[in-house]
This record gives sequence, structure tokens and C-alpha cells, in this order.
Amino acid sequence: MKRTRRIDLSKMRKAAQPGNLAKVSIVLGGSYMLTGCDSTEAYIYRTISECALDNPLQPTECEFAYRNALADWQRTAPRYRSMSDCEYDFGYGDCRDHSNRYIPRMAGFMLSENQQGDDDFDLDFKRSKALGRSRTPSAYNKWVGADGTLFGEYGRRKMKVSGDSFTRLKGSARTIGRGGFGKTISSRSSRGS
Amino acid sequence: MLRIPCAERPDWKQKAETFGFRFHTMHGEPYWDESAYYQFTLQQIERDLEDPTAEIHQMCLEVVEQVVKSEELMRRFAIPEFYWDQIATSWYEREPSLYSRIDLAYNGTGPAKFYENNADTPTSLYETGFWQWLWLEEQVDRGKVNRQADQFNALQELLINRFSQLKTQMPDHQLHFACCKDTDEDRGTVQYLQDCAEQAGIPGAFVYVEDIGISDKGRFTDLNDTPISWMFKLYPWEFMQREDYGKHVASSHCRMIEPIWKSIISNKALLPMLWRLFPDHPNLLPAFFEDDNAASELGEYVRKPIFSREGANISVHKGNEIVIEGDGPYGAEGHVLQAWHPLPRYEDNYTLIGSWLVNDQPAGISIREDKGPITQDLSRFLPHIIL
Repeated sequence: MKRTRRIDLSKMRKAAQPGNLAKVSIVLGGSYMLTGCDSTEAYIYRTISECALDNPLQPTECEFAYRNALADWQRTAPRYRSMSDCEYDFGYGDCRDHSNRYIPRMAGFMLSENQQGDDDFDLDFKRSKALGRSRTPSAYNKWVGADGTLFGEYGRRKMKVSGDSFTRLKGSARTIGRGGFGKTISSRSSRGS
Repeated sequence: MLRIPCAERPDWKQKAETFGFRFHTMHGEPYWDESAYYQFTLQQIERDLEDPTAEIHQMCLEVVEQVVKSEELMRRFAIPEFYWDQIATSWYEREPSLYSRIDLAYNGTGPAKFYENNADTPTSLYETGFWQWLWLEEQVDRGKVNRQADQFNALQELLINRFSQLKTQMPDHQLHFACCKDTDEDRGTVQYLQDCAEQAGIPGAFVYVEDIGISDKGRFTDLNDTPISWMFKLYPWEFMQREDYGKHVASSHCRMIEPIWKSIISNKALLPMLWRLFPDHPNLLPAFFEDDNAASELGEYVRKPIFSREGANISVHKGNEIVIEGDGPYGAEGHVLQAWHPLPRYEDNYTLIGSWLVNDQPAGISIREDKGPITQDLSRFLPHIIL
């Protein structure tokens, strides 16, 4: 036989494809990030030393990831008018003053597996995500992002999360120009051959 | 080799819609044409097309080997000096290639004659690898084509296998696919390749060539500012080398498919070089650089610009007389002359065979028909069988 033995026609159809399956979210006090096709393995550390224990060759990167997460958290964490409201959601002793408001403490930071391939690290230390520890009755003892997204039991250190959970890498790929390819085509008719 | 009229599948246009084949009609003219098909014997396929395709490809690689070693030849090939080292490095490192299509004139007897090599940005891939394959399955099922019929077309299978190999060299990398805006044909071609890559487990992304950006760190980026570390570009190297971002290619850490060494064999200067290295090879036509004195020995010849696509700017000459004049935007970089060996005619049609390679392995054929002797972008695509 001199031709392709088998083609899976279902993979070749375009118009009839169901499209991207809509992500279903289950509301349980907050909304869970369900993992889709773009899921990634993520690791959660409560402290720099926990991170360094797990990644013995990257203590500096752990510290860097922690500091970035903390800076993000202070910028984005929910702000409460009263300490007790904050403590209702995040637990007694886990909130503090922050510019005339009360915010929860950061309880940990999450790192995804390195998908960029830029460096040799297993984890993507450049994009850490700050997490709090939710104590609100409907989501008791769960990891929670600054925007209220829940990530599972506080006891868990490793989980699959959606790739969207991490912010886009900023600064490391700032596009400074576009359109440097494709000019010839406008003066000549076709490009394939 | 026969041309056999055949009833069209009544629902093929709806099918085309379902499968996303949007360019079966172009410029208001039919492009996919299943009102007939070509029939070959297995011997014609294997002896006259498949084996010579593998051999011609090896000869082309020998030309690359010669050209990368010679500044004079690099200049002859109109490759800007800035890229000479880059091309040599890409060749010496054997930067992997994906596919090529060589064009052959063949009428069922005697050696097929090599016209040129579309080694950098070949199109008509989807029609070949998938659509004519589907045509055969369905025509056999409908009883319109003999159940014993086969087709020389392992293209899709070999492409997926090749992507699986490439994946091992770029583990965990996303492969960006790029083509120009406003062309359904090119968009369909890269979508097909992306589908094949994804079936091999390579995550794909798409960006238009015009939208490619450059980052502050010298990386190419897509519209999401994601760095492009691996890219299939359906855009010719000879254009890229003359455009603003060409200078960033070497430092961008981006692996390209096809690799830059392909700019040597997608170039018409390949033709006189092949004739110089392999004179009188049965599959080659005599060819010379225009300023070569030996060119005067050609009686009837075709004059081709060093860079040209889809038959543009190709003219046919008999002595001092121009028999066919072709127009188009190419030709600024010089010309080569190739002995005139007209395409075979089947009824009112001139028939050209495209013979595909995946890396260095012959992978199948496609057939184009044109009303004129020079195949242009309005030529029609017809399926074929082996019986």
C-alpha cells in the first residue's frame, strides 16, 4: 500500500467540531479553577525554605518567587474595612493592617512547571502566584487566590491547575515592534509555490 | 499513465465545507477538479517517479554541500552576504527539514524530467495528503473506482511521523505556524500542518507573518507576546532575508522550519548547478546561468528568474525569438536558462506532476493541469490512482 493507511476523519473535520468545551465552574463559596486541556502541574510552598528544600539548587529563585508573590499579594489581596470581616474569611490572627484597610496574610505561593523552556529550571520561578488560606465556612481551609479562585485543600502541596492560573510573563517578552516580516508580499503576488 | 473521466461525488462541496477545505475554488475558477483522474501503474510510480525523486533530492543536497563552501556560489545564488555563515552553520548542523515538492514532467514513458524544487514553501499539501486520499476512499466505496486501486500518497502519515521525530529534538516546545494574511490557501496549508503536528503531540499556535513581533530581548513574539521558540513559516527565506527582521533570525533562538539552508535549493540557481555536478543525468534538463557561454548551445529554452513563484516571469525562447512571454514581479536577481521540455498534453491540458518528500523520503504525488504550457496559480488539481 502506497498511501496513508488510516486517517482519523473526526480529527480532520473543522466545521462540525464541537469547539472548545466550555469550562464548567462549580460554585462552592468561591469558584474552582477546573483543569482543561491547558492544565499544568503546580507546587505550593508556604515559605522560602520549603521551596528551597524541594529545589535545592535554586534557593535564590525561591526567594525571588516568594518576593514577587508577596508584592503581588499586597497589591491584589482583598481589602476589608474591619479586621473581623477579614478574619471571618481568613481566620483569626491571619489578617493585618494595610494602608487603612485590613488584608489577609499571604499563606503560600504557587509555582507551575516550566513551560517556557527558556532556562533549565523545572519550575517557572518567574511567575509565582500568591495564595491565601480561606477560612470562610463555605470554603474552609482551602488555598485561594487574591481574586477568590479556589485551588483545593490547604493540606495539598501539588495539584493540577489551569494554565490560566498564572499571569502572563511580563517584562520578559515585551514586544518592541511588529511588522518586520511580510512586506515583500504586498509587492509580489503569491508566496507559496 | 491515463486520464480517465469520472463522475464527481455529488456532495463533495458540502464535504469540503465540513472539513474546512475553503480554497477548492479560487479567483472564481475551480481549483479542485474531480471530473477526471490520472491512472498510473505501480511500475510507473516506483521506477519513474518515486526512485528518481529520492535521487534528485540527494543530488540537490550535494549542491548545498558545494554552495555553502563557496563565496562565489553564494553570490551566484543571490544570497545576501549577511546570511552566508548562518546558512553554512544550519547545513553543517543538519538543521532538520520537514518537506519539499519537486516538479516533474512525465508522460508515462521514459525518465521524468526535473523542472524545479519547491523546497522552502510548497503548497497544495492539504489537497494532496488529505483531500485526494479522501476522494479515493469515497469513490471506491461508491463503486466508481476499482476496489484494487491504490494511490501514491503516504504524505499525511509521513508528516505525522516526521513531527514525532522533530518533537524529540524540541521537547516541551510549542510550534508556531505562520503564513501571510488574506490567503485561504496558505492559511489552510498551515492549519493542515498544525493538525498533523498536534496529532504527533506537538502543541501548536498560529501567528500571521505580518504580526510577528520582536521583543526587547531579541526574541520573535506572537500577538500574545509569547516568545516564539520554534516556527513553521510558509514564507520564503529569500523574502525574509531582505526584510527588516531578517537580521534578528540568527540571534532570536528560534528554530525555523524549513531551515535556512533550504534557501539554496528553493533557488533556481540550483538548476545550472545540478547540471554542472551531474551532467547528462537522465532526470535533468540542461541548464545554465544566463551569462554562461555554454548557454548558447540551448536551442529552445525556458528563462527563469532566480527567485520566482507559481510560474511568474517565466518565458520560453527559441533562439532570439520569444515564444511565450510570462509577466510578474520577479527577475531582479538574475536568470537561469533551462532546456525547453514541454509538459505532456492530455486532451486540452498540460499536466505537471508534483512529487513530495518528507525530509528525504518520497511521500506521494499531486497532479496539476493548466490550459497553458506554464503551470500558474490558476491551474487545477486532479486526483490520481495506481492500478
